[in-house]
Amino acid sequence: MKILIVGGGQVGFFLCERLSLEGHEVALIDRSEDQLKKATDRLDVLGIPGNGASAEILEQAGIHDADIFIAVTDLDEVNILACLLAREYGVITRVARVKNIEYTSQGAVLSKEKLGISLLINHDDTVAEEIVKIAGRTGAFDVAEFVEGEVLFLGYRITEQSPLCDLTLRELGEIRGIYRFVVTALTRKGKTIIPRGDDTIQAGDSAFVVCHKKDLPSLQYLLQMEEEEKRSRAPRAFILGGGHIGLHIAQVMEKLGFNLRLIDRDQTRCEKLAAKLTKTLVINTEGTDIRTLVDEGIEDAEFFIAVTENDETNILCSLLAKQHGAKRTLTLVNQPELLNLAPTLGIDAVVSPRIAAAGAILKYVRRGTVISLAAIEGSNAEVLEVLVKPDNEAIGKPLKDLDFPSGAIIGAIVRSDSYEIPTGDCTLQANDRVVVFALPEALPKVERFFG
Amino acid sequence: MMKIADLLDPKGVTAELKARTKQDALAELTDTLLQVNDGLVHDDVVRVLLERERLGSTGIGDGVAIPHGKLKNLEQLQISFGRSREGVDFDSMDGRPAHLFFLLVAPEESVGIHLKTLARISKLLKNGSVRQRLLDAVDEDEIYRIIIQEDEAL
Repeated sequence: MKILIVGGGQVGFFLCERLSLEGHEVALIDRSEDQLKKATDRLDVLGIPGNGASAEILEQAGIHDADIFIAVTDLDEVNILACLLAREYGVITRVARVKNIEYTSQGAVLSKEKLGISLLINHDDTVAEEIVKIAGRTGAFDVAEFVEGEVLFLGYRITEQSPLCDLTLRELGEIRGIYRFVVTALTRKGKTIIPRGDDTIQAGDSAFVVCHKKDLPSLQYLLQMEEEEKRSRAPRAFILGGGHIGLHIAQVMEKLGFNLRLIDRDQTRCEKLAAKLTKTLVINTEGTDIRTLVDEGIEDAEFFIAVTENDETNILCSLLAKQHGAKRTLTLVNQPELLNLAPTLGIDAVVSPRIAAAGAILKYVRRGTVISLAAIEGSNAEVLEVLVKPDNEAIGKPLKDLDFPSGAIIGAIVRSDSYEIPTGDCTLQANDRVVVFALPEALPKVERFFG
Repeated sequence: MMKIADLLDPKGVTAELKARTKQDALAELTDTLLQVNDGLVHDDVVRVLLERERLGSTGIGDGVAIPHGKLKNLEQLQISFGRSREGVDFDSMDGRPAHLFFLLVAPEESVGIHLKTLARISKLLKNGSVRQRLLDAVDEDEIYRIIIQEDEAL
C-alpha cells in the first residue's frame, strides 16, 4: 500500500519505520530537512520537505494514489487541515493525531465525522487506556487482548525466584497438558528472540506469554500471583500527576473499584480535580514528599502510577514509591532514550505515549485480516491477530509440516466454539482466528502466509 | 536433574485405587503419600489439591492425571503414584476416565523444581507403551520398577 505520513517526530518516525519494514511504500513530509534526513538515511522512505497542509507539497508526495494518509505533526491544526485536504484528494483512510482534548471529548463541537477524519488519535487518551489495562491485570507488565478479549498477551519479568526461571521451552511444552500457554518471546539484554526447545528462560528476561483467558487462573497459580478476587476489596493506588492523563486514569480506576490517591503539586489544579473526581482523594504535594505518601499508605499500595509531564520526575518518584513499599509502578516515559533504561532500574511497566499512539494508529491502518495489534515496549516485535481465509493452502496440514515464517510463532488458535494452544500436530481450519507473535523482519512473511 | 527415582518411594505406590470419584481418588493418593511421609496432615494435602483442581483439571487426557499443590513448611517435593483399573472421572480434557495418577506436593517456595518434575512425569506418561506397561503391571513392585526403568531411559 502507499502511505503518506506528515510529521517526522517520534510518532511519525516510528510509523515510517514499522510500515516501511512491513513492505509498504512510505512517503514522509516534514518541514525540517534534518528530521527528514534522519528518516531517509535509515529507512526505506521517500522524504519530501515542506508543509503537510499544502496541496502542492501533498501532490509532490503523490497523494493522488495514496491509500492511507497519516498526519502526526505537533500541531493539531496542521494535522486536521492536512486530513481535510487528503479527503479532497480522495484518500480513503485518514488519520490525525490531536493533543487538544476538545476534539475528542464528549460534547465536543467538532467531531471526527465533521472533520472528515477516519481515526482521531489522542495521545493522552491512548496512554491512559494503556495504563488502566495494565493496572487491571496483576503480575503482568504488558497486556494486550485479542479475539474480543478471549486471548491474552502478557509479559512477565523473570527473577531468580520465578517459577519459570531455568526451565527450558521443551519442559514447558511437556506441561502444556496442564498449563496451557505459550512463551512466544523472550527479551534478553534488549534483544527479542522467539525461544525454541533447548532455550532456557533466565533471570532478567522478560517473557511474553499468550494464553486463553480461561487458563489465566491456573497460569496465575503457576506463577504464584495473587488472583484478582483474592486481593483486598479496594486495592489502593496512587497516581502522580493530575493532567489529562492522570484525570482520565483516575476516572476509569474509580469505576474499577480502586481506592485512589491523586497527587499534584499545583493547588489550583488540585481543586479542579477534586471537583471532578468523586471517590479519589486529591493531595496537593510533590511526588517526592515521602512523609505524606507513607501517611497515605504507600506501603503495600497495589500501584504507583506516575504520569506527570516530566520523565525524570516519573522515573524518580516511581523508584521512591517502590522503595517505600509500593507493589508495582507504572511509569509514563516520553523520551525514547529513557524507555529502555527505566525497566532496568526496577520500574515494573513503562508506557510511552509514542508507542501507545503509534500502536493505535498501526492497529487502525492495518485493519483487514489484521484484526488488532499491540506494539511491544522496547522492541519492534508485534503481536497480531489474523484470520485464516478459506482458500489458505495451510488448512488441514499439521503446523510442524508447514513452512511457517521463522521469526514468528503462533500463540493461540480460536474457533467458533473452542480454542487451541498449538502444538506441532495442530492444524489450521478455515475462519480460525490466529494470534501470532512476529519479529519485524517476519511481518511481511506472516502477512503473505495468511494472504 | 532430579530423577523420579530420587523422589518416589516404593511404598508410595498403590496398584489398586478403589476410589471412583475425583475427591476420593485425591484422598486415597494422599493416604499413599502419608505412608511415606507421616509428617503431613491428610486434610491439608487434600485441600491444596482441590484448590488447584478448581482452577482447571490436572487430568491431561490419555488416562493420565497429575494432581499437585503447594504446601507451606514442607521440606522437599513429595510424590506418590496410584493406578485405577476401573478409571476415575477426573474432568479430563479428553472427557475420558483417568487410570494413572502421579500426585505431587511441593514446598511453596520451590515451584521451579516442582515444574521440572511435572515436566518429566508428563513426558514419561506421554509415551503410549509406558502407559500400557503400567496398566498391565501385576503389582506395586512391578509398577515401581517400570517407572524407575523408563525414567532412566528418558
